[in-house]
Amino acid sequence: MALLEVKNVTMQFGGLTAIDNLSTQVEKGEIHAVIGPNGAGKTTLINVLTGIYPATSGEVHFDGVRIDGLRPYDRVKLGMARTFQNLRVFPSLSVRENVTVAQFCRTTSNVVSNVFRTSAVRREEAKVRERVDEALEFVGLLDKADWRSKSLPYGQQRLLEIARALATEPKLLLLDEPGAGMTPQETQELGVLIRRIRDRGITVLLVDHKMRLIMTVSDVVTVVNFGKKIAEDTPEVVQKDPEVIRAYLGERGLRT
Amino acid sequence: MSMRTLSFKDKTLIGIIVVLAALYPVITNSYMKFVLITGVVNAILVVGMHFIFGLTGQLHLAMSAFWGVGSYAFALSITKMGWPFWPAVGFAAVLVGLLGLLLGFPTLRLKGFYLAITTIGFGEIVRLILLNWSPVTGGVFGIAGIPRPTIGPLRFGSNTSFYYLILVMLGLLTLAARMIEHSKYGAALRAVHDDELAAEAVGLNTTMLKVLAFVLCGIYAGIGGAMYASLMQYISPEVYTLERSQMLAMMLVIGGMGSLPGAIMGSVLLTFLPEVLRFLQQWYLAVYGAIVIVIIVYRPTGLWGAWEMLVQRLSAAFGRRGNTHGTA
Repeated sequence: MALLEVKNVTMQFGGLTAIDNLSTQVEKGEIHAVIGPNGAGKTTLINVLTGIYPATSGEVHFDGVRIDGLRPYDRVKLGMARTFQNLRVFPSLSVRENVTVAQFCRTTSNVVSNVFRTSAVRREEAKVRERVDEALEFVGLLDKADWRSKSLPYGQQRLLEIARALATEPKLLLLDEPGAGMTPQETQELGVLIRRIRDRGITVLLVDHKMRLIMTVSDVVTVVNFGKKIAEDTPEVVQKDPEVIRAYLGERGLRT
Repeated sequence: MSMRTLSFKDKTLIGIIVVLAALYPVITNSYMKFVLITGVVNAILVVGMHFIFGLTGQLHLAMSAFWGVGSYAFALSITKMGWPFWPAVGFAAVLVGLLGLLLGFPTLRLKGFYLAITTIGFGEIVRLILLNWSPVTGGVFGIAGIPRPTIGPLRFGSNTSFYYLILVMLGLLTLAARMIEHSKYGAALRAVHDDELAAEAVGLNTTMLKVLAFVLCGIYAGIGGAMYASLMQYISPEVYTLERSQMLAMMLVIGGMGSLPGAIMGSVLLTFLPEVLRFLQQWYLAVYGAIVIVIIVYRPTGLWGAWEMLVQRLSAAFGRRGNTHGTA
């Protein structure tokens, strides 16, 4: 059974149809990329899947549960985590705290026991710290755990967002243009990181512009244009699809 | 917890409580002593506001309503229903906590100015109820005959004994606030303050967290309201005004937003400032306003920021690295 099932999802903003009757499936354990020209509806799709926008129509099933209609934090609890295209680290929190708040949804202690810092709370905190350190280590930011998050360089803030998403202990990680603003070197390292995430058993849904990144890491590529799915297959097949070439390069692209 | 694990902020908090304890006997003027007691009561309210305004960043201007309901709930349960002192304080805390829940839920979708205006409206409604529901609240005449606290055989009838009791309460309530601030809840509330959308995307139930901040604020306001009523022994609606709400918010801002020591410093200082400036007579409000503006413009991090910088400079001058790496 597919981990994520998108059935006939449409998202309209007034008269604009950002996603038009789109259906797709993401299988467990794969790296699934969504590509498309600017304004094709890729980020909107992620926002619909994570519950930031309520879909106009259609259904989304995640791990056997129908999730359209759930609030974003409930979807996180079910095992869906995301990063943002425009960075959204918490500026007043340190690097470590940024990742720590993501563990909140996996903890159970209440306010009163936290006031008295009971032994159960201390055990919980120790476990959280271990998980947070592990997530920071995984992306290579452990040595900067006590930095102010905003003083990290751009590329590392992206890694911090990934560590933060991983700390929610997801089954599916949605990466919204993780390569944006990265140098070629950083992008290459990102590709390696994405594969390492998949190797941990986390399914990845990836939205990006960078063709080299997409083509080297993905198992399946879905191509959208004007909110519609125009192709879906392995990277090799999609690359040769005339419809895809037309969407990216226009009619003349086909003749060369 | 050993001294070594205490942060600069914690040490400052302990220092403030010690200074406040030492200050009382130093002040000789009995009126000024009374102002100091009021300052400590205000500090309890401002520490409560720290949850909702300082940590979570929600501009809450219905503090006078919270505080007023706390005073009246306490005063009525003692004078009309004959409750013992401390259960009446507990009742005020619970009731205003529930009031926080009541105000919290419908206003969650509102932010910034919209929330501010709604809370102002809420405050006015409560003030008018206190004023006009005469059979219960006593209307403009208020409620008299409110007792001072007792604990078993101990009576806190004198101002001096009341002061040290309220200071101990402030210490305990500040400690509780500090524990919450340092727990997972503190970081989560600050995350909501920073970026609500991102907070939801990392699994934080922002609705629950904001309501929690309102409820915590309500509990502190209930306790503060009860102790204020006991201090004054007489309450009437004219003090629970929007002006007071603004004043309490200002104490938090002047003290330094988002820091507990700042909240207490701001409360005590702004309670004293009008008294110190009284000799200016009709000019005092203008000078008072000017001082507040100067502090906000030149010291946006407030008294806490100034104190932090001062200690850093001093320890640098004496060649010792001060540990000032508190959380921002």
